[in-house]
Amino acid sequence: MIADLMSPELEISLHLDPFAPRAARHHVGLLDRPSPDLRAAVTLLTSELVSHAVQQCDHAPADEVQLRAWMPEDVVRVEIRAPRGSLGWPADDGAHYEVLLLDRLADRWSIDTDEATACMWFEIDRHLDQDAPAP
Amino acid sequence: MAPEPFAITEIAEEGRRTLSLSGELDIAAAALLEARVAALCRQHGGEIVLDLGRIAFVDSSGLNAILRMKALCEEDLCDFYLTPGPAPVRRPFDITRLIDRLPFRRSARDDDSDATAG
Repeated sequence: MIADLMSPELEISLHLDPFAPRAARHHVGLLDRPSPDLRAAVTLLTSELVSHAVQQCDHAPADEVQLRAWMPEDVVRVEIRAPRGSLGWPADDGAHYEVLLLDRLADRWSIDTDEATACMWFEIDRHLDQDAPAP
Repeated sequence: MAPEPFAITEIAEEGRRTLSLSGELDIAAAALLEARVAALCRQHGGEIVLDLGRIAFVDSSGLNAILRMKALCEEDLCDFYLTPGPAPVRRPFDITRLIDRLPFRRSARDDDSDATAG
């Protein structure tokens, strides 16, 4: 997994308030590797991850998350980490548009937990034509 | 370059309030916008149009806020419409198929809804 093999190109802490998604989008948008099409998807899904954490922090102790991003040649990976219990799966109680967007735009996404932390992440595979400069 | 801050410009016409939105419609902006729409419903009634033409970004928090505002307007017997945003803003509406569930118009003054763009 790239998170184990490479240093992230972005690694910051975000205070979990309603402005955290905007800050996350801004920092991810400063990375110059993705094409415009890929950038839009990465920015949107990053906003979804952080917004999910902001909504869940009403019910959990975390007041900040770690945002990390990798953009090697073959994949983009973005993840947020917080104390275990701070990032849970969306409740099965109706339409969750963040899940729909992650399902459709990411090639993979999940929420992993261990004894201490939870990690919500997505990956988008990169293709040569996807990363070509826009005409 | 830092993104343009979220802003609401209100245009009053007889029987209609158009809220022209700019910046990014996310979880922070949603609360501001919902409060504004709730106040307009209480104070004026009639027709409320959200103009998305100058919006640069919308995520699921923005989509959920739009659905809540639509429900609020229905409860308060206000008419609620949207006008389309630029292509990157249309994508979340397309993916979630909300394009088919929300009352889009080509412009704030169109009398007929047009569900072709979000």
